[in-house]
Amino acid sequence: MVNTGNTNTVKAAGKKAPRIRPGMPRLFRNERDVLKSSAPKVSGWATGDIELKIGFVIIGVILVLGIISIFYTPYDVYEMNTSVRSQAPSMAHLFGTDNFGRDILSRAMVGARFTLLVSGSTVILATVISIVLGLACGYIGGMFDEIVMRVMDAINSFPSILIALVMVSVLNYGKLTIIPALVIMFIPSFTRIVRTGTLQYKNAEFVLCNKVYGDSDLRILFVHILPNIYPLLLSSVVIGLSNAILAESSMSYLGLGIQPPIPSWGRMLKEAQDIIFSTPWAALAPGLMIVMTIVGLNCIGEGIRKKYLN
Amino acid sequence: MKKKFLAVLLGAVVTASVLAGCGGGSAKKESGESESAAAGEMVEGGDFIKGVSTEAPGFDPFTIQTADARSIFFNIYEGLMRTETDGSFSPALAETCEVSDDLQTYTFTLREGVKFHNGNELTMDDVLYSIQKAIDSSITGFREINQYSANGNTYTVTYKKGKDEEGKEVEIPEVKAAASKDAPADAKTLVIHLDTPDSGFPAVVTCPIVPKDAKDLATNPIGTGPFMLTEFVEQDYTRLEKFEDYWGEPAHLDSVTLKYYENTAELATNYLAGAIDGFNSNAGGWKELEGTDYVQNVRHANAVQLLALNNEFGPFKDVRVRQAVAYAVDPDEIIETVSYGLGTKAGTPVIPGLEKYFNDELTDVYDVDVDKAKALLKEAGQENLSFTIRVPSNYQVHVDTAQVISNQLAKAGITVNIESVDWNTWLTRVYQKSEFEATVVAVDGPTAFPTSFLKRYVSTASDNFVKFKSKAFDETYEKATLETDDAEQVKLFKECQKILSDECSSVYIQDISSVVVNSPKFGGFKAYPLYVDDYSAMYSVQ
Amino acid sequence: MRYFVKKVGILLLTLVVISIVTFWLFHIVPGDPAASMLGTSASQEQLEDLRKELGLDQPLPTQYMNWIKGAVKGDFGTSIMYKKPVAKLLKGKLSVTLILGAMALAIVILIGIPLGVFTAGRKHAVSEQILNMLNLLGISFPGFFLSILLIWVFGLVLHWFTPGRFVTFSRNPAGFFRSMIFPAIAIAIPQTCILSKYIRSAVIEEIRADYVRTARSKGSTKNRIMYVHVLKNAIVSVVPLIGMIVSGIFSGSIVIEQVFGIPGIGRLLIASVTSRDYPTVQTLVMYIAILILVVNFIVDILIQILDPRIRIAQ
Repeated sequence: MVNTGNTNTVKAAGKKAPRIRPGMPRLFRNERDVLKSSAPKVSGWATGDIELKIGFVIIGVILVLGIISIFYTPYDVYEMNTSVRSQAPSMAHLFGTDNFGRDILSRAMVGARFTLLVSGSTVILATVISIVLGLACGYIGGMFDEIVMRVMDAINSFPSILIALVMVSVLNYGKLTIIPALVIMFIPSFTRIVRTGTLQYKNAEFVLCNKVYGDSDLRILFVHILPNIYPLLLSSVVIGLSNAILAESSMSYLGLGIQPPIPSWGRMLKEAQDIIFSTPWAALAPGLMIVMTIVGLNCIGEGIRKKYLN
Repeated sequence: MKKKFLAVLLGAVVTASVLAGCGGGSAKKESGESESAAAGEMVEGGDFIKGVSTEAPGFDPFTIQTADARSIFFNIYEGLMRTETDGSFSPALAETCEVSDDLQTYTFTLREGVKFHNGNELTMDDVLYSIQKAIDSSITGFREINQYSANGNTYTVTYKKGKDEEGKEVEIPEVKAAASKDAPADAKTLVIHLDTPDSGFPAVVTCPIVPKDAKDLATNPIGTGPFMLTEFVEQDYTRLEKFEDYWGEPAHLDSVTLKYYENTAELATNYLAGAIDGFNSNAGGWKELEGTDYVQNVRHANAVQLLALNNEFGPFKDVRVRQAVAYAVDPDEIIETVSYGLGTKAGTPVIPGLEKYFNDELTDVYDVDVDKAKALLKEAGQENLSFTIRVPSNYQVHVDTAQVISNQLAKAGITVNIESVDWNTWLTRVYQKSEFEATVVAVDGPTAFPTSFLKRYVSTASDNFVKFKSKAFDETYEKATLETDDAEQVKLFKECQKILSDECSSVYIQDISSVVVNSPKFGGFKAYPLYVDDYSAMYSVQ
Repeated sequence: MRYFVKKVGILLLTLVVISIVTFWLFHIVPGDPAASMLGTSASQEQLEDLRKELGLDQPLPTQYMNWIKGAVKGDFGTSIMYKKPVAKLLKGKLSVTLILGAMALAIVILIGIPLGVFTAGRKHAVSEQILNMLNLLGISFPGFFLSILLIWVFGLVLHWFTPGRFVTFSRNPAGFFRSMIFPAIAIAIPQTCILSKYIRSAVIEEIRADYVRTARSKGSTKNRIMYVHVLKNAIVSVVPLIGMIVSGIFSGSIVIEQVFGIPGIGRLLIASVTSRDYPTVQTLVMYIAILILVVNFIVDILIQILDPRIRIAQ
């Protein structure tokens, strides 16, 4: 699943490579594979196409489930019915019912909508803010950089539960107040990555060159430097997106997530913990959804990275 | 209205670890002994590890009043009287208790040969010190004492109106001692005189007696109980060890360890893993243990769960709107859904277990009737009623109940938002400042007397968080508290409940049940009409 | 040297800012410790008395100055919840969490780096695909849920350990470590996966770099290239991550301590936040902040030393 990079270069190097000695540590023996890749193997895996496809299919399915849930769910999401409580998965209830007789599939579908809404908006907001801050810090440097980075350190060193509690209380326990709390938690790490990248490329030849040609600072930042940071940023955004889903579930575990009765995956999992022995399948749908989503996101991230680099 | 109102515990009573029995008879298995006896023989010794999900915030009985702390205090401290499993009171540190015909003078004789955990013998000075301390700390019920005498002295209690720094009016107690001929001269007799007649006074003097030279009870509690605290590790465990010099029948167990887990869901897991020998399960927790060995004891909580409506919130000012909400809520469904059928329908704030005072005619007054609810809303011009239930997030039972209610009210066209807030926010905002529209919580009383449950609905009560105001109720309540005739008093207390029901001060749902789960290796479970775990009766089984 | 002095100065300034912000932020959250102590049985008078006793009736700046004055002398105040000096309260908890964190970090580094390098090399091989899948799964589970699964599988089914039975080090060192291993694994798993993923990307990127070709054409051995150039540069490029990983371990341990029943500072933090135990929260936040800031500080210095590009840029 890994990109070979520039095949010609690698191939050229490969030809000159000495034979691998049998005693060589296993860890590095496979370097030969890295260097040996040849044209036929530059398939979908290498270009990232397959990963993109897999990723988009998974995320697409989950998005579609979420969108369908606006118009249709197999059962009412909130209606409790004790006559079908704690039922194992069956044809009637594909993922079973929880201890209140609510259809888990229906809830997970609605959960998809809210979980993706929360994590998506969190990451988009955090990324936009971080790109501006990170580029500015890396490029301007000096006092500005120092102040912003210290603030980032400060935020980073606050326990997230405290930030969440403060935000949620101050913003008066709205349904989605968890978003700003999560945004604040995600800004520092994104900013750090953008800043480090900016520092690396700030004095690169092509940047200096463009400077000499008289490009404006903004143009240099957004046209020349930013695209170079994308690979690293993208993989952190992808991890960030999955982390936002995970963070929302941790917050739900501590009772600070999306407000009931709206089912978020995190809250569903937390509620499933209470009934893990008698109704283990209650954890199945939200657990599966979270895992699938994160796998899908990672595939997309990996795919974009490869495509972009090629 | 001269009585110091009785303290009330809310919410805290309702999580897994915090349920109390009411009127011992209501416990389905009164002691679990029958099972244990069949399983094996009782042996002395052993360490019982109980999983708990709340920690006592200190051990000073005069400042700490949370339900969990009381449960531990029950094993460490004793008062002049003690509560029995059937809800009656028997002498403990007092050997005898006599009451005058007018129910205003109580005479106690001190028990001899009682030792404190520090080895000192109990004296009248300790008792006098503890009484004064209780008065100073405004402990439930002590407000009604106006004079007590012992050791040849008479102590007169007066209350001065004063102002605190913020200019709020407060009452400051003052105790004056004076030598008196009327006072009993021997060091064994204590006479207490009350403002008003009170047949419930023995409940008040179950308040702990501590040694007069006790320092720092919060971390180093010293009492006379069958167990003494030997170790307390924050966020980890509390260890109680058998007190060898106990005056009564000593405990069977060598020690009891209360292992603390933050999350109630972990209790069942840790029981299955063998890390703990028992726990107090919430409504459905015991369901997790199916197929394993355990002894299940069901007991009623001393707490009524209610959908509290803020009577000062716009639409709820209209009694018809409150009634509409009551007609739309179906307590039976809540009991079936949230409590697995183990709750008891209430209909009034008084717990059904207080059979004598409970007004059972009110249980079905607001039987679910969606059409009636809709009609009432239309009459009041509130067809599009919408309100927010602010519910404490740490009590899953209440969060679940709020969800059921939200569904039920939707059928009557009422829109409900749920806001789950953390416990401390709930306490300050909802309970102290009444910043809420509606909330779901359980209210319990520390004593098995109706005043515990009714006092808060008096217009001027500082804990009247639902802001209920009714002249008729205030008058009836005062009459009831002053009444000396028992039958008449019962009638008046029932009348009070009738008013609360007619005016629909809130929607009273159920007396929640608690399931106490113990390993079959331990027997001797006892249910009390109080929120307590009595470890002295427990024993190991072999 | 001047650089260091400046950095240390900034570090201290950051700490002061954090302490002020924590103090202020936490006090705007509704609630107060007197409420927790008295529950709902308190009268207004009792609450006022207790507030006064706890010094909560004083203006905020005064309360803050009092705290900071003490803190400088090493007195962090008295826990409202436990009526015990905060420093004393923390002693037992801090060591537990630090050991837990250190164990997790060791797992992360000892497994994460080799795993990253290994998967980078093993292209298209089945083992690589499997590792990739495991890696993906590792970061796909919410921390508390992963812990529950670990408890279920290893505690209840396989009986490798007894969940919820924590023993202190002084009482039983072996038991102490046994009760810590699974929580440490639970904390480490996602971080290990993140680290190995980064290492893998970095190694792949480095292998493609021009200097590798140059080194190759010079006739350097693959071993030398891999060990000396590629791995070194790959590690350099993930150094900024260490700060993230350490704070990830700490925030992870907050939830995981809860699930496994380990009495560390994570649990204490949540409990003191819930009961509004201001001195304890304040001190805990400062401890955690210092820890994370110091790690980031070291990371910054390391980057300076390791990456000439940034050194020049400064």
